[in-house]
This record gives sequence, structure tokens and C-alpha cells, in this order.
Amino acid sequence: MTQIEAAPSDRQLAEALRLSGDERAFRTLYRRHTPRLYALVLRLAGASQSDAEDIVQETWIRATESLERFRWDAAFSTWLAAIGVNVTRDLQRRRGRRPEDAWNDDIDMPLPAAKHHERIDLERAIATLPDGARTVLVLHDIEGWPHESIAERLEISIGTSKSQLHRARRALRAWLAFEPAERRVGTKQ
Amino acid sequence: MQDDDLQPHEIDALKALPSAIDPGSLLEERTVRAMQGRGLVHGRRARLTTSWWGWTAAAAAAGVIFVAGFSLGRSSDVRQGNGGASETTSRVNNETKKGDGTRVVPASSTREVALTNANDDSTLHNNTRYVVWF
Repeated sequence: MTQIEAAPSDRQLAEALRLSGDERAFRTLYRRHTPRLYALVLRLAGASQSDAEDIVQETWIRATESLERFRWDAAFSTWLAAIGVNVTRDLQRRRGRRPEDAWNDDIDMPLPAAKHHERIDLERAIATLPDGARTVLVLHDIEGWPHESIAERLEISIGTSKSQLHRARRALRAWLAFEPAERRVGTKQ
Repeated sequence: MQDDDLQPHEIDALKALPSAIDPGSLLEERTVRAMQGRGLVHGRRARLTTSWWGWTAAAAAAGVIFVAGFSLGRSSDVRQGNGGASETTSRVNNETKKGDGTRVVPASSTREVALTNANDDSTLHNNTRYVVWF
């Protein structure tokens, strides 16, 4: 009779990592969760691969250092994504982008006035958004976070989260000129 | 429906975006090295000695090696002790007495030299050797 070994759970792997620095446990966790984390932070970082790689690395370091405080009342992937969002914000701050600017409704969005007829890739359109609007759009419309969670994580009001989402969607529509008859948006051209 | 709500085709477009992207193995190695640099991840050799069962296994192995070495040393000593007695007997037969009373014994080995020194009985008794390998 063949025995099928069940894959170790995130918690088992995390415990092995926390208690003994088990490299194999870490690699298993890393391979299980990094592709999703990388997709998230790549969008948050405006499609900068080098920034996204730095963020992923720093996210794992912070997560491992904080494992002792993780109570497992949420999925490991959710907790990891939240750390990734924090690391991204910190990176943007270090780059000299003032946090208040990210949420300033008076800042012009990069609307494509002269190139209205052009349709660009959805990923690139998201990358053109200002940090704040892009972050809210990615977390809400792609990752499915509710405004309450976004506001809490980004330390902004729920109203700010909603207004940023509104601006982000408006800018994206202008960029992409969504047309119901054509479903090519979102695909690479 | 509100003005700001996503249209179905917009939802479809956003859902079509990949939810996971493989960053490649280089980032994994880079991250592991960074984790090792901060002492958060240990290699397999280090991991063996930092876990309780690693220490237990190492202590047990050291104990087995010690006992084996000790036993080997004891058995070697017993063989030497038996041989030494017979050699002493034959040596007494072979020794010659000079006129001045000095005993001359053919000393062909280190052990015989040690035995001949001896008027000092402690040499014989203290000649026990234990071999412990590490």
C-alpha cells in the first residue's frame, strides 16, 4: 500500500523556520507564496521588476522576523501580502515620495488627452497611475480587499480609499477606452 | 448601478490579469542568502546542531566512540599485560650477571627498556595505556 505524504501546512513550515531556521522549510514556503506576492508587489511598485524583487526579499525577512507574533487568525498569504504592502510603502517613502502626495486629490492624474485613441496594455496603464490611486486599485479591484482593510493597512480614511479608487478607475478608462464590444483590453498587444 | 461601478467587461479584464508571477530562481537564492546573513535561516549542517535531536544524536555518537575507544584500549592493555609477564620470565632467564653484580638484559624494544628500568615498580604498574579515538 502506497502512503501519500501530505504536504506540510504553512503553519508547520513556519514553525520549523521560526524554531530552527530550517532552510528547506523556508524554501517550501517561499515557493508556495512568492509568485502571488511578486505579482502583487510588482503592480504596487509600478511594474518595476528590480523594486519588486527588493520588496519580496524584504517582505520575507520582515515576515520571518515577525513570525513569533503571527497568531494565525488569518491566512499566511494574507498576512504576507499585508507585509508586502507595508514594505512597498516604505520603499516609496525612501524614494522621496511624500505620503500625503500619494493621497492628494488635487494632483493631476496622467490622463492620456492627446492619445485618447490609443489602447495600451492594462498592466502598463495601472503602472502609470500615481502611487496612492494605483495601490488602492490593485488592492480593491485585483486583490479584492474591502475599503476598510485598505484604509487600515494604508492608514488612510475609508473616504480617501474610495475617492482614490474612483480617480484610478476614471484614469484607467481614459487610458484604455474600454469598449464593451471589444474584449481585448487586459491582454498583451 | 453607480457611475463608478466596474462594468462586466472591466471586471473580466481585471480578472484576466495573472494572480501569480514567477520571479525566477535567482531571487530565491538571493533571498535565502539575505536570510542567512541575518541568521534567520541556517544551512543543513548548522541546522543539525541547533535542534535538540541534533545535539542528542551528536552526544550519543560521541559516547559510542568513547566507549569503543576505551574498550579497545583496555583489551590492548590486557594483551600487553599477559605478554609482559611471559617476557619478564624469559628475560630473567636471559639476563646475565656481571662480576660487579650489574644485571645486563638485552634491550631490543622500547617496552623491554621500560621493564628493565626497573627497580621502579611503578613503571610497570603505570604502563597501562588507554586509547581513545576522536
